[in-house]
Amino acid sequence: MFNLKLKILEAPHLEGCRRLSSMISINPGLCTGCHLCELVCSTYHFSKSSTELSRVIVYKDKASAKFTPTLCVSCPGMPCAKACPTGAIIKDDRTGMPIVLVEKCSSCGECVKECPYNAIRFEPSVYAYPLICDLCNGDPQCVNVCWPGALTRATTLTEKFKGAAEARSIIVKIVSKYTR
Amino acid sequence: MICTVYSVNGKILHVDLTNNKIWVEKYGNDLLELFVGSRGLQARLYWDLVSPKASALSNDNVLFVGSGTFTGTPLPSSGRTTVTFKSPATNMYFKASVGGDFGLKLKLNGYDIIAVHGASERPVYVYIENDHIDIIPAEKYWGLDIRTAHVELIKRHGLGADTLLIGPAGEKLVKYASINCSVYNVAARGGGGAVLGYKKLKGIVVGRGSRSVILYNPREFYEKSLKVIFSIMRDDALVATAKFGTASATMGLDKTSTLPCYNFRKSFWENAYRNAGEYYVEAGYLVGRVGCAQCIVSCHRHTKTEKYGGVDTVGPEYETSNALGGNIGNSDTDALIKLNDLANIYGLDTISLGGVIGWVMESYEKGYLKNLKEELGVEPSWGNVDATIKLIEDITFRKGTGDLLAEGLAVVCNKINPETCKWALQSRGLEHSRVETRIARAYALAFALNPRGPDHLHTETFAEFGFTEDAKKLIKRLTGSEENAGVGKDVGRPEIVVWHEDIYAVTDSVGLCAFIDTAGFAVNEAILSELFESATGIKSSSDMIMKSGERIVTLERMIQVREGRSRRDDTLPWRILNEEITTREGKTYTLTEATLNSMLDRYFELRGWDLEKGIPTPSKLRELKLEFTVEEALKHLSRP
Repeated sequence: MFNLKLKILEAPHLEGCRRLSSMISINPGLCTGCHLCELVCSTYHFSKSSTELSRVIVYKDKASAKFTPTLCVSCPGMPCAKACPTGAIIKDDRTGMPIVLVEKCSSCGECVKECPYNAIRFEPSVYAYPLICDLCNGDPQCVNVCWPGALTRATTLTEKFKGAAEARSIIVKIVSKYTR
Repeated sequence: MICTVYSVNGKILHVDLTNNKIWVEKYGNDLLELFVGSRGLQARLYWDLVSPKASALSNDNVLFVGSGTFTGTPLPSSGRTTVTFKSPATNMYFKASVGGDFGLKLKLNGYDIIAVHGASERPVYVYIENDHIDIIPAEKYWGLDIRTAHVELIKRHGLGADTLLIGPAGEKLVKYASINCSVYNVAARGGGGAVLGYKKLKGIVVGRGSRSVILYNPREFYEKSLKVIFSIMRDDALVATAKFGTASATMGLDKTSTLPCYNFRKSFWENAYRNAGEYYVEAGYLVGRVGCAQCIVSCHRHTKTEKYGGVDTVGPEYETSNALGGNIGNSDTDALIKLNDLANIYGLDTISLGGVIGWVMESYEKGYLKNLKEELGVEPSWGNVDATIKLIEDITFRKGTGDLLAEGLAVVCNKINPETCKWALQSRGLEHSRVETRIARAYALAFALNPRGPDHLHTETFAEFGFTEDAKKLIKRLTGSEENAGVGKDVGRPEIVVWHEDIYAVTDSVGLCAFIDTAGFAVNEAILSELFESATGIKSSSDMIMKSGERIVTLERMIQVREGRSRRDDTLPWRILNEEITTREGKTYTLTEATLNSMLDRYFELRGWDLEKGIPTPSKLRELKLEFTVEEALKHLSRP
């Protein structure tokens, strides 16, 4: 279902949570696999709700009860931007996150392959362009709803990258288990 | 795209396994307004599609699986799925509610409800991905346990897909075989697994799904959802459930002497802590928490033990902890985790399984079933884990005496010796849930009336215990006084049950977990009605929400009236009504038929149903816009 002109919901901020450049830290061991972060993300950005429209991605191995979310941690060097043949990915100076310029994007999927953290969602049947976390303009909604604590506000860069690396190793295990 | 319905897809997918036919039926807001969602809609469909004469294990039984109206939205804890079918255990209408991701994925594929008609000749499974629906041969998955089958099917259909499956017990038509969603979320009760087993349907696989849930007023709904999230985080009962799981109830029930142990001969137990959620954390069994779709409470447990060849599984829940713990005198937590895992992967309802094993142990102790010792190689005495493991295997694969035990207590006790029916804790074919109904009287009344049988997850009147301040407040609102909270009390029980039945029907229908509004109290009827209105655009109010609940409860009663139910069936197991129970303070309680009857009288009066027969009156049915059932009601009311 293509819907190129999606209305963006005006951000319903929570009081006291506005802060630009806030970073998100992933704690995979605490994820319970509930998908609420994904549904909140999609409703916030698109006014409609689907796990496939979310910038957070939850990987699940239900048989072993292992879960982890992953999302963009704005890694140095921006491999996604380097991989983009049309120069559609640039850095948002306010948040430090990559943003996709849809008018330039050719939907080739190269950025997805290069992302070291499996953090770019690209489901052409749902949405024509890659989806990358934009920190909700500094008030990440997923963090606000994640009671289990798998997504929290990071205090240091070390903490942020440690969590993302842990998430990556779990994702590799899950993907290899379920690939024939 | 023009949306005529919001928050749901407005589509029912029909799959006919006999004729290999698939078709889609649409429905609109008129039906949604009356019946709210999955449970209500499925009851309405059941009325039209399942004849009262249809046998549960026949081609005429239709099994419905439906996602809730709020499933797939950002509202927390609303990802529950309802399964409706005619039960082979009770031979009547039956609904089971289950967590996991199945309902969410079903909705994202564009359907609200699947109706499975007929039966296949060879094992098959159904695969759904948006408009692409396939009935696929399942010979190579038939016989596999649920965990293995899930892994194989996800390998085939890709990460992001989800499964609804039966295990070997369902394939062998065990009368208490379960249906498992997302491996460990179990629609356990009533033998839905056997219904699928008869249909030769190993399960249903749903793909990632590329649809979205469109809300009528997304911004308002989003803001209200965030408020509910914060209410959940502040609710004492839900905080305890999040920390220690459903088995955190064990110690509270033990303290109030409502923890049934040794097949309902004891109401408290010195080893209760070994079956408690707090102990699983303290002793290091807990690896992590597992959430159903959208649920931040995540009361499911991920547990591990090195013993019994190493077990890494999800659970046990409170009911399992007691049914396969205190109920059979088992204080070995490692064993409990093993037994829970076996039931999980074979696809068995642990409550009924515990009921059967408890009966076996008591019967053996009293000199019946003497041959079992030789058959099992060990004595089926209280707390004997090896005997229990052997019994689970024998029941699942219907070996030896296990073949008979697989039929459920109602059949078994009569075959062995009618005398043993006195300690067969079942009524209407269903084994009793794990709460002492002689002392918790709202539970007793709810269990007697429950269309499922004596079971808790249809009308959980947890507030009766008054464990939290919120619970006491609710009891005051329903009965006029906080004094009525607590156990061993009869006053106000019918009022408590009526409210719980109504709100529970709506809760199930919207896909919300009943723990959110009847165990914890983060949501009430006012919030439910606001959410319903902003999600669907259908005008609503607290009164209308409760009226919808009453409509669903009354329709379910009418379905069962048509299937032969009347007031004489509103009863409880023999032991509950005829033997006394002693509390830890040495006080004895009896629940006589007279007490139950006086509560029933008041209940029928509150409901506006016929007092003598327990059948809804035509005027009540018309008031609830259930005109299509009036003729049936008149027929049964005029019978002598």
